[in-house]
Amino acid sequence: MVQLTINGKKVSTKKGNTILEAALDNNIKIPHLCHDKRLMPYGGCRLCIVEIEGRKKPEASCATFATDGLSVWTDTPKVIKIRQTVLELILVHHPLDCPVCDKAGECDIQDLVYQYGSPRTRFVAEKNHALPDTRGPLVELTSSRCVLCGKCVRLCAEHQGKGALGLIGRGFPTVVQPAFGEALECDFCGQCIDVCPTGALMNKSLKFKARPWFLEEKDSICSFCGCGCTLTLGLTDGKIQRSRGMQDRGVNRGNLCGRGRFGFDYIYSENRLRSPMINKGGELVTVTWDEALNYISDRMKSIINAHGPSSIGAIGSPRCTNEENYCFQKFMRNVVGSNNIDSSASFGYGLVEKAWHMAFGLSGHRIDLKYPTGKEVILAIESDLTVTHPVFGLNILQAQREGSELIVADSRETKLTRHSTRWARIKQGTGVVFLNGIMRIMMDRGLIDNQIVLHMKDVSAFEETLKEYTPSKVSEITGLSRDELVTITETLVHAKTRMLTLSIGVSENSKGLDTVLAATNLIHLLGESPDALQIPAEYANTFGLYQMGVRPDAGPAYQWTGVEGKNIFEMLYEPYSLKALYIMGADPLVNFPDKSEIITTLKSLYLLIVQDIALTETAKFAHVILPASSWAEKEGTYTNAEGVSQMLPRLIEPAGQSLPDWKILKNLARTMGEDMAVHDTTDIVREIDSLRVKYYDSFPMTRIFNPVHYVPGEEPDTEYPVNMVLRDVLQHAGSMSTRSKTLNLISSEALLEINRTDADRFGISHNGYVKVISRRGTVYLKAAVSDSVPDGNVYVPTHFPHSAVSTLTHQSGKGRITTEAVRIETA
Amino acid sequence: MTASELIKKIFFLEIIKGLGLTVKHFVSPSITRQYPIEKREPVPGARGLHALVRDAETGKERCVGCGLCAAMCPSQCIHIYTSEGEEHQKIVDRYEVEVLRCVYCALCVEACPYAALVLTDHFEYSGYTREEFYYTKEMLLANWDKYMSGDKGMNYIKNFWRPRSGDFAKKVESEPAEKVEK
Repeated sequence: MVQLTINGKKVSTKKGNTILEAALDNNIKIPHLCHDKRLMPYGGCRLCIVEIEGRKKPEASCATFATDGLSVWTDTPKVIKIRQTVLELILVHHPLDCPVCDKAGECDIQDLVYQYGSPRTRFVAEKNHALPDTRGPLVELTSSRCVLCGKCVRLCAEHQGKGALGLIGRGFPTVVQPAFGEALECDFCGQCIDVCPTGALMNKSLKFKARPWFLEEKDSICSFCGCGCTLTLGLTDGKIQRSRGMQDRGVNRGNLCGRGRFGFDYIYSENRLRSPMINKGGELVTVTWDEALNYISDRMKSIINAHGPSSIGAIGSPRCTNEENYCFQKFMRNVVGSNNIDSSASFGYGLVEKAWHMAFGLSGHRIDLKYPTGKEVILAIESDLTVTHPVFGLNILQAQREGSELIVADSRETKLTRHSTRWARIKQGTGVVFLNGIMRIMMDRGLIDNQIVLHMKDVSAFEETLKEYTPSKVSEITGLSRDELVTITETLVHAKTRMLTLSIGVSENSKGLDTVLAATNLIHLLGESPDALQIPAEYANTFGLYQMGVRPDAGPAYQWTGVEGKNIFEMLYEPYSLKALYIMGADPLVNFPDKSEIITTLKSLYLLIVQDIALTETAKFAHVILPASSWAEKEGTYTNAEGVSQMLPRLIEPAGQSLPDWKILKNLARTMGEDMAVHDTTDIVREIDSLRVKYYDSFPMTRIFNPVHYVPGEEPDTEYPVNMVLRDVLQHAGSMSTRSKTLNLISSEALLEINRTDADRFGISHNGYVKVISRRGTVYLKAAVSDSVPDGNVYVPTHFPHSAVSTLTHQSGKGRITTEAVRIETA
Repeated sequence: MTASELIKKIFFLEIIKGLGLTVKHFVSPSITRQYPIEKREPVPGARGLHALVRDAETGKERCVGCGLCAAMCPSQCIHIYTSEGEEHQKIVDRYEVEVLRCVYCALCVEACPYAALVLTDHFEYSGYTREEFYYTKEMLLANWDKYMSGDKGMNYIKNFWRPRSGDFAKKVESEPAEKVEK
């Protein structure tokens, strides 16, 4: 700690902090424009100037380290005069178009000018008249208002790792611009909008819609990925107008990705369900709640009587709150009497839980968003966490910048590989071989952690299973040179702190249970604690959903339920195994693999109930559709991948006649003559609290090897020569985000990413349409010729309902790797 | 009872005095106005019905929709809705005043940086429903044409309210050059 005096007050601060940071930490305000916690000191605006006793000249506090015994004065007349002059100079070119600038009211420059004097300047210069650059879809750049603090440029390059903006030119004509003055083409995280101290970078979707002083700001939790970021939502007239991140607020510490910042408007989509509907003779007819609930009740009762409760299944949703998922499983288990309840987590987080239990005997795998910080080596396996979990990904990039060795084993060039210190370009889906190869080398060279491994059973048996993964074989399968594998192994072994990470979910098919198990084996061999494996739960409430017992094998708080119900594979991919299916907030036809198989199953049902916020693809097959309230229209909690439960406030009025999911379930139970004993969310919370066990520490930790062998996905052959890999795109999470108008401005259809060599081979041009044929179906997609994907592989996202990529895919039922072999033709 | 008091009583002096005053006012000029028939010229700058200034050059409202008036309004009776125009300019879609809630403080007029809003001297308005007093942008512009036509409007803007709202926009454009000449 460093002791110094600021304005006569003794303060202490961490060593390495600047004077400005020391002051801000101790609630002493020093004006500043170009400083941001996340960035390196810059010293560009000179407003944070202070006087230091014993030094002749005043110094910029943001670029001067705090040292012991300093005596700093922040508000002397001399300093104030300097600041006034600096402001005058800043205003020389500033257009002062505050009345039409959307920033007015929360503008740093405006506040400072208000504090330090008049907007008049003694310096003569023509005002900057540059017109706003309105070409980009979401971010508007008005360079005339820019004061060249460079925060956006530095944040984009230093923090986001993108570098889409630059300071172009020197002296007066300097402007902030994307390369070659073209339209902004970037990740659209919108972080530059948040840091801009003036109205130079503005959110286009908010343009001229609301003045900041009329926005009522409320915090809520993002409904997309598992990071659980806090969004500060601005509302006017009961409508959400914008979302932004506030510095140091929430688990995201003010960082947001494009989905969180722009994607909330899916709740205002035109195909929101506004009233219950029943399919009458092939047509969806709007009915009253009474009619819909009575219809379901009658049909369900007759199915239970005729076929028993086990003929009814249910699929829960990671988009619904803990309370709703709790009610859902309670409805299924207590009212219907069936354990057939599962969710999309079975394709992703459920596998992690399974592996976690098999390897360590633990349950409730959670990550720590801050875990990457300070780790010596970070190994990411076949994942781009900057896409699936952008805020977690940011922390990984941050760790890399601070000196961590970032090793990325991936077939595709991603943001993570671009920032890696070592990119091991393995072939797609060969993560298991890669990990087994590493372990074999460790075994051969005796690099294992003996203290832990020697106490484990079956070490020799495990070693036996690794025998076949000789470096030469691994090299052949993964395409990685032997030396590279050895180097990676050595780096990993000799590091003091490590982190292994990957993402797994229904929207990716090159990883499976095997990959996670191989990673746990590596953790054993390295003698690492289980925490070193960081696999985030995929969606906003996947973690909570699992805790609430939306799974066939266990109830809330991991309580064993006796009979294991049907899992999602048995429910959706085995036609006639069920008579009725209740789907809450899931769209299997878009998100889950093998669309035609699911359609067969759905058509075989006597009763399909779909409860969702919008008319999904699956809802089109439903007998009854129930409209649910969206994330902003109800109270509840989401549990993020860290296991942190966060409140969702009710911000707006529900759309149409929609009701919160738990209310629908409560009403339905009552219609069926049962009482769920819930009247409001507090009842549910009380009930959950009474059940909840301390999930993480409640099991003794064991260590067991689970040998895994490489089982490839569909192998390409002469008829289907190309591998198809499913990967997420940054702007979407699941299929709900495709209903957001703003996100669709950036990415509105599934692009087939293909290498130039392959494109030439199949005669495909960039932006041309291609016909993709797999053993299960055919779809037409737009091609994007890209150097970032390897030969013989194409990469496709699943999010978009109209692209129907799920027509091509298959599932293994065991959580295996399911890459597809496809044929590509020009269309 | 003294002698003088007795004399006053006998000769009704008090009554005569009183009648004298009545007679005096009877013949002096009247100060009561017969209001609905006889109308008084309002004081310059009187605060009456609201109007949006119509710009002489463009023929449209001067208002840019900055919302300062609505922010200042103590009775929160001003509602402004803006949007982006075809040439990316700010367009005022709706500018509405709930006149019945107004307290005529004229803080809105003072707040306006473009002198786009005035309180006219028209104070006689009544109606049978509340809806009649929900003034839209078109009605407010019509008020300007009706009650502030000719020089009257510009005089109002120039002579009342400090800081003079009309000055702001002008100053920002030309100020630096002027300043240095001094």
